[in-house]
Amino acid sequence: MNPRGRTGPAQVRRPRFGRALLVVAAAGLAVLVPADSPAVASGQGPTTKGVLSGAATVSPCGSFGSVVVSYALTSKNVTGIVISSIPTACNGASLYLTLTNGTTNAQAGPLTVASGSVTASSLSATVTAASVTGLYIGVLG
Amino acid sequence: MVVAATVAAVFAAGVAWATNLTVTSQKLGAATVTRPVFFPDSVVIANAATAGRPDKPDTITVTFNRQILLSTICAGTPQTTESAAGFLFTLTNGGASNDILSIGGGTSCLALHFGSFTLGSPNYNAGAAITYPSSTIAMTLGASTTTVVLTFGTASTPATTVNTATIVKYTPDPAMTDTAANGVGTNTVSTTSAVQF
Repeated sequence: MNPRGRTGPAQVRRPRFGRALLVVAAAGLAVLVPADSPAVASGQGPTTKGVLSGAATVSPCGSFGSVVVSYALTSKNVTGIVISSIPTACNGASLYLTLTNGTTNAQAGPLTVASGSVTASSLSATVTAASVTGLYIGVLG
Repeated sequence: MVVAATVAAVFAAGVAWATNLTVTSQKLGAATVTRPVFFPDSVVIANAATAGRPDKPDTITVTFNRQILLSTICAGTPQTTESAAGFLFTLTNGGASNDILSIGGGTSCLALHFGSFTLGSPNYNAGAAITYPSSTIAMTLGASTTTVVLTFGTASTPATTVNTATIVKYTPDPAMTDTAANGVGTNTVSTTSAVQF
């Protein structure tokens, strides 16, 4: 008889492998790593809550308010983009760009920033220059 | 995302804590950036004589996405549809690099700021510069666009015929602006690949 007075085999409390989250707060960015990723060690005990946190400060490599964007076009379509006047502190970092017209996103990257400039000689999709509504860049290093 | 987290989890008291956390990102940034406002968005070359050779009266038609402030191409030009003759086109030998066609002024405008074309071959001109005096330029203002048609005059020396597919790239003179004073910048436009001229 088990402690609750029931007959039969005692219930065994199984280990609780709850979804552990790794929360990295870095310069306003949160990185969530699920527990079943390789970052979680094996051998959790049955009472693991699995919450792990840490924080680190990552400084931006500069302001992008002065970057200069130039199109390379063919038959009204943007077939390439040159971005210059990128802060030199970003040299060596990887730049990703997205050009959108609200319906289609044309992307390129990673492109290595060198001498404050990158050139995307091709894009993932065709977008006419006149239809572009936004151009976004991200720099990671 | 280049964030490497080294985690050694210890689950002794029911809560896992990292004993080591390494963030290797050193450069981060994201932004919405200003996109070009004024640019040439198409260029088409039409043969009217010998195919594959720039000669009279072949044409190059460049379309811009906004109205050009015509006085930035040639000082004093009124902001109306214009057609003028007496311009000098020059085909320069690029050596091992692609040849260049520059659009210069002349009797109609001493200092023309239109730009140049990088031809897709070094073989149009292997010698001294070839000039095309008495070339013409017609600029047509649309409601929100500008179409410029360049027509070759007679060549000082016949250029060499290039019968392979090439791509010609137009680079505007950065002095050009639209009527709202947006500079044309370093935006370029290219033809599709074909036998040009």
